[in-house]
Formats: sequence, C-alpha cells, structure tokens
Amino acid sequence: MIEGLIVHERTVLGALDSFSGTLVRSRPYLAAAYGAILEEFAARWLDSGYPNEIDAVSDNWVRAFIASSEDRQLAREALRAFFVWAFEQKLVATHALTNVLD
Amino acid sequence: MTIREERESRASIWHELLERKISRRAVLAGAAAGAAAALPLDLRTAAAAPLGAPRAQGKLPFSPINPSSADAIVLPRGFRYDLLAHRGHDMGDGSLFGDNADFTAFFPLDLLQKGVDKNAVHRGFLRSDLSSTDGLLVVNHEYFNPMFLTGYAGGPKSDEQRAAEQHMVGLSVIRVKRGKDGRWFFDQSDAAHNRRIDARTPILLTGPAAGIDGGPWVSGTLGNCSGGATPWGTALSCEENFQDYPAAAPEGYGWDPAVYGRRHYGWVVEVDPFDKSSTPRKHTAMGRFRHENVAIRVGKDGSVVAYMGDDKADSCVYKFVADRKLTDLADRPGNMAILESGRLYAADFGAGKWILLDYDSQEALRAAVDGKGAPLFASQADVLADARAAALVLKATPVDRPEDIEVHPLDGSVYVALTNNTGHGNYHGQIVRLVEKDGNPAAASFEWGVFAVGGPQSGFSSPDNLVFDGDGNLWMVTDISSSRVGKGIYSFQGNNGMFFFRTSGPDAGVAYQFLSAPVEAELTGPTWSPDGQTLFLSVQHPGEESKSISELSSHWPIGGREIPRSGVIAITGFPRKK
Repeated sequence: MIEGLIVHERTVLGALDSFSGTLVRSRPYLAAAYGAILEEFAARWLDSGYPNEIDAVSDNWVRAFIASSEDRQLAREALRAFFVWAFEQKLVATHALTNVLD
Repeated sequence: MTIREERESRASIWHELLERKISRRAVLAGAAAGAAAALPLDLRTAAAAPLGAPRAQGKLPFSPINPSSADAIVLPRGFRYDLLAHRGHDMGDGSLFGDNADFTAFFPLDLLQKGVDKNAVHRGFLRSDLSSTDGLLVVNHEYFNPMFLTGYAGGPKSDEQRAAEQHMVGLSVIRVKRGKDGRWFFDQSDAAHNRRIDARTPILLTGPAAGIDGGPWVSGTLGNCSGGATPWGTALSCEENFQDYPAAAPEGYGWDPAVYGRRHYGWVVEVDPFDKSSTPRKHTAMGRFRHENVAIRVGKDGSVVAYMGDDKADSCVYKFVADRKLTDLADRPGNMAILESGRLYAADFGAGKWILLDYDSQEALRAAVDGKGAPLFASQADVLADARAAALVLKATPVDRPEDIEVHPLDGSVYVALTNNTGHGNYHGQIVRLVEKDGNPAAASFEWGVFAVGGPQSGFSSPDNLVFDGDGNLWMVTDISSSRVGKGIYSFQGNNGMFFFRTSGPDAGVAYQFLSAPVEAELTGPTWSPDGQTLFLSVQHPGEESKSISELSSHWPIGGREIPRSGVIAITGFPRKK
C-alpha cells in the first residue's frame, strides 16, 4: 500500500529517471543508447496527450513505437529492459508489455 | 478513496507548499520588503535571479567562470588543483583506492592532541588551529563502473569480477600532506593509517535493530554516498543505493543475495580514521533508507542532532536526536557511543513538525498493514529498518529527492538540497532552509522557506552536495544526470559544476559558478581544511556513459586515450583572511 503512494516512479518520466539511475550504475555502457530511445519514447507518449502514468502505457502503443523506430532492434532491447525493470519494481502489473517485446 | 486518488492527493502536497512559499515571497518582495526583513526566514532570497550574468554585491572570493563543456576541471584564475588519488591507486599495501569517490572528510593529524570545536559545523568540527597541511582524508566510494573495472559488458560475472567489484566500494582512509611547494599529495608510505574498508570488511550493527537478519556482524559496507563528521573526530558514511547489489546481473550487480540482500545495508556507518584496527559500526537507531548524508549539530545543552535525507524522489527528511548528550569533549570513547541510541523523526513540512517514528507510541505504525493485510511492522527494529514506509504511514511529507543537508555555521539554520523530481515536473530542483523553533536543534517544530531555485534564470540545475565556509557562504555542487547534462533544457549549464551563494545581503541566493567538471562527471564531497585554504573535492564518474573501452567520452584525469578515472582533488588559491 505504501509503495502505491509513491508518485514519482509511477509517472513515465519518473520511472525513466529511476531506471536510468539503475542502468548507469549497473550497465553504464548501455545508458546513452537506451537513454536516447527511452527519452524519445516518453516524449512521444506525452506529446500525444497521454497521461504521465507508466501503467497507462498500452501494448499497442509500444508496438507502434518500435515499428516506427529507426533501429527497431535497439528500440525493442531498450524498452524490454525498461519494462522488465518496471515489472520487477511493481510499477506495471502484467507481463503484457514484455510479451509484446519478445 | 482509491489508491490512485490518494496518490494524486499526496502528489500535490510538496508542490502546493512550495507554491505557497514562493507566492508569499513574491508579495513580500514587492510590497513589504521591510516586513520581509523581519521574518526569521529571508523568503526574499527565493526570488529568481535575473536572466543573464549575476552582478555580485561586494567582492567575491573568486572571479566567476562561465559554464563549460570541456573535459577538464575548469577553475577561476589564480586557483589550481592537485590530484590526490584515483580509482585503482595503490594504497601502499596492495589494496587499491576505490571507484567513484564521493564524500570526503579531513582529519588533521594533530586532532587527537588538540581536540575539536563543537560549534564549527562547516569545518567538520575542526578547530581552526589544527594542521591544514597534514592529515587523514576519509573518502567514500559509492559504486563502480563494471566496464572500466573488469571489462564487463553483460552476461554472467566470474568470481574474480565480483571480488574486484567488492573491493571498489566502501571507504578509503589516506594520509595527505601539503608540501613546501604548496602541492598536496597522498603519502602511500603511511601504513599505520592508510586503510581500505570494502564490501567484505567485518562491521558491527549497533542499536535496536542490531540483531536483524542474523546481525550484529555484517559483511562490509556499500553504496557509500555522502556522509558527515562528528564532534568527536570520527567519520560517518551513508549507504545509499543498496538495492542494486543483490539484484541479478546484468540488471543488478549480481552479488550473493544471501549476503547482500539482507537488511544489513542502508545504514549510517561510523569509522574512526585514527585507529586502523577499529571496527566500523552501523548505527541502526538512525534508520535505514537511501541515506545521502548526515549533518550533525550540537545544541547549547549538549543535545546531539543529526539531519539526514533519503535520496529518492518522493522521500522524506529525517532528524535523529541522540539520547546521550555531548558533555565531555575529552571522552572520545564514550562519545563514540552517542549515535547508538536515540529518537528518529521525519519532517512534516505542511505542519512544520517533526514526527516521531516510534512503534510503541504511534498507533498508526502498529496498525499499518500491507496490501495483503499483513502487518508492516512488528517492532521498533522493523520501523527503523524501513524508516521510509514508517514515515509515509505517519504522513511525513515526501519531497523532491532530498540529497545533502548542512547546518549554517552562523545561525544554525538547516539547508536541504532537493535535487529534482521529473515525475512532478520539477526539473531543476531547489534549496530550502529550515529554522528550528527557538533555535533548538532538538525542537519538535520548525519553520521553512525557499533559499534558491534551479533553472536557466539562476544558472544552476539539480543541487546536490553542500558545504558552508566560515563566513556563512554556501558552496554547492550539481548533479545533473550523465544522460542529460549539457543537453536540452540542461544545456545552459554545460557540465556539472560548483556554485557559490551568499546567504545574506542583497544577492543572497544568487549563484556564482566556481568550477566546471569534466565530461559526464559529478562533483561530490566538498570539504575545507581548517584554515579554509584548501577545498577537497571528489570527481565522480567522468565518462560514465562511454559505450565501450574504445569509445570513451572522457579521458580525465590522465588525458590522451586513457580510460577515465574517478578521483579526489585538493583545490588551492583561496584568498587569505586579513
């Protein structure tokens, strides 16, 4: 219940911030490449008028983002890493997004 | 109310409070400056500085520099730096200086003979007549870059890789001297003092949660971020991102979760730098969370108070009030037990009150349950081991990532750096100032106001570590993340840097840049020598986002094609007081 009250990581931008912090400590060599894609992902999501809530992101939207990315493989890897982390942090409830990314 | 509705209602708490403070300040500044001057908090300093270069009121101790994106330490004219140690530096006994140097504390070699000054909070309680040319420098090591350290680039880790990693965190104690030529150096020959404490050094838990998860003996310390100095001549090291270590590689560091997954990390560690054989101790009475630093203040009656921040967005500010008072400065062994027992509080900024985190007296803690209806806490040890959850249960105020906290040496007010919170749209952070009721550090209530607000209008973003000088000026280093520094809305600042603020007068709260860091580096752990002529500073994670050993984004400090190394430097050139 308490963790459910933590606002920052349940926003798209806040979750990205926390994930970036973890990534830069454990796999810093991926931080720049993944960071650029995830920043673009967040910007496009918010620019489209969707809420700044990570659990509002839909699998269809993720699929469309990857399809429109210049480097689809890298986009898939970055989003997979992000959503696996988000699932482990209990920020998203299901494997739906990671299934899309398999 | 649904969880989401409750979350949204809490989300607004801190920002509503901030807006109220800033609106009030705007009114006061415009229409009633005289009344504002009479306030205990000078809220006028929250006013955004005008765009463009600030105009100093009176002579500054340096000529401000412009923002820089150079892969170098950029200092004002007349200043220089000496590199004392860097990652992998030989400690003289086969052990190595750790990675990502963070907190520093200087302990003059004559401290035990001459004693301390319990009022000199800005000098780490050092007397001004102690040696400023010979001492022990305690340096924290927060984390490490696996690629720079062992070439790791994903996949399983070998035992050798993990052992190398476990040696890179913790603390170093190094003997440092200033030679006749004015240059500082690390004396590797001092085997009696030079020491490494890493993730395998035996450490003792003290206090109410000492027996937790198989305690009191634990394996080492890690995630050592900032820290503090005590008025009895010891160093305090704060364990921060402990959650990364037991998580499986490559997402985490992949260390043994049976050891590093226990609640033995996330505490404040006390180290005696003068006794190489002493056992470091983790004080559970001070709570377990992602500790950034600890700032100690001693009240007139000898009350010992420690201010602490939980370095995570939407987390709280804490105060520990020790049970024992500091009454005999000469009783060093006795004073080293002061932090073993006391009361832990969290700040309610809405009411201006400190909330006691106490299992026995707080019904809400005894009644708190998790999502499945199981009790969150069964004892005070549980409360201390998850102080963050306890603070939120008791409705302490989650703020925008509280990092460093320091005490003003002249008026005792408490400055808190709130780095940022992008989830709330707070991209540049602010520094707030607390004033305890009646100036009593052990008081149950306080007032607060905004001291400075980050952004292009003020020239800095994402305030982090702080240190005061003897005149009450504030020196601050920034922590813009490596992925964002110098880009987009952060481009106005260039690389991370160090800034100077006066805390009173017409330009109080105006930032003047003193130093610019190398590419992707963060400056941490500013500490003065007793004479104020040397500033020790860590240079953390230069070139952090290098994609590979052959695609390096920084070569600091060696240059050429070298792999970047974190390290600690000594800056000199400060004007002498007349």
